[in-house]
Amino acid sequence: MARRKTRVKDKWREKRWITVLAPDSFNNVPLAYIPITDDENAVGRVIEVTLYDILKGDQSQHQYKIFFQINKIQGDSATTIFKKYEYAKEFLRSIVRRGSSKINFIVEAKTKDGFIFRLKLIILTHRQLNTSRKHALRLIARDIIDKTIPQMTIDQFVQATCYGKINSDIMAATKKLIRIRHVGFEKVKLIRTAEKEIALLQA
Amino acid sequence: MKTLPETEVNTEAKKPPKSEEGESKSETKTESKPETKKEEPEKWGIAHIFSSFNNTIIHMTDLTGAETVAVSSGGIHVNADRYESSPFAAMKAAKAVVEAARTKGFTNIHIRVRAVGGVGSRVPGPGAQAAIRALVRGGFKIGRIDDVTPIPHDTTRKKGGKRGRRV
Repeated sequence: MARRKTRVKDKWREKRWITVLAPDSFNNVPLAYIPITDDENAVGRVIEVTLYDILKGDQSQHQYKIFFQINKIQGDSATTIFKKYEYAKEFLRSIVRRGSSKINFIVEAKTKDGFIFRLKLIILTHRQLNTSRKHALRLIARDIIDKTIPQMTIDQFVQATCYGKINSDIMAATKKLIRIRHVGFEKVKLIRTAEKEIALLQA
Repeated sequence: MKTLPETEVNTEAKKPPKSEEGESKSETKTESKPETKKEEPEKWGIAHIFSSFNNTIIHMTDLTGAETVAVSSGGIHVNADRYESSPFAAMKAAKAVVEAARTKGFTNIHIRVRAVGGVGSRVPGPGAQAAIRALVRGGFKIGRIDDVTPIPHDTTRKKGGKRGRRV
């Protein structure tokens, strides 16, 4: 036991502390201060933060979780890429209610510079809708996603999703059809980065 | 020899959660609000609390969850199997974790509480409350307190068969 204890302590002393920085879309804000043993090991680690941690705006930003993955380490700092965006579990629970329709829509989108994302859209209404209206809402949402996202770079896309720009676009477009209670991305997940996509296409 | 300390355990275990449950709840609520700012000298960690009805495991890691800072469980601190999940054992485990984390320079933590989940219970066991409390008491600044119980969208069948568990 005693021998084991000393070994563990030594291991911890070897570790190097680095700061993890957010990607360019969030102005390289420092996200975390973490211990690592060597550079290769640390690549691929994922950090979960809320939108509030980055922006320090209002309290409602606690409801959105963002995941960043470490992709490169330079000296005392590590750069990250956007990995995932998600509603907090409690928030999702609080907005879904009885007596109104919940319309889910899952679609994949490609940005201008070749990053592929899977978007899970959620639309909530004031009252129950019939299926034709639901279909129409999905069509509108798809239209807007297909129009806007292929023209965005990765940074623009990340900002648009996290700040809810695409949501408000969809909200505005659906106004013609029916008034809806909530629209937003329940989950946005990075499927492939540009480099991986190119490698895949070549293969 | 063995039976004596256990009875002590039992009495102590029942006292704290009953009298101070309300207090600890208010504490956790107020402390989840302050902003979680990351400055260079401040070392943040995550305390993963897995609380089932058979044991409580407290695992403290860095923010990525990849580096372990300290681990302890209820079963380490008590001798009888039935007390592994007790609040007292959880408190002891949390204190052990606090001490280890302190020596490594951690000052702030997020807490992630987890029940068994899946087909099992979705309510954290009896040790969760006590563990959170002990961590808060340990002098850490608390960031977020999350429930990360894995909840399936669609489940396999729970064990026990159609007629349930027949004891």
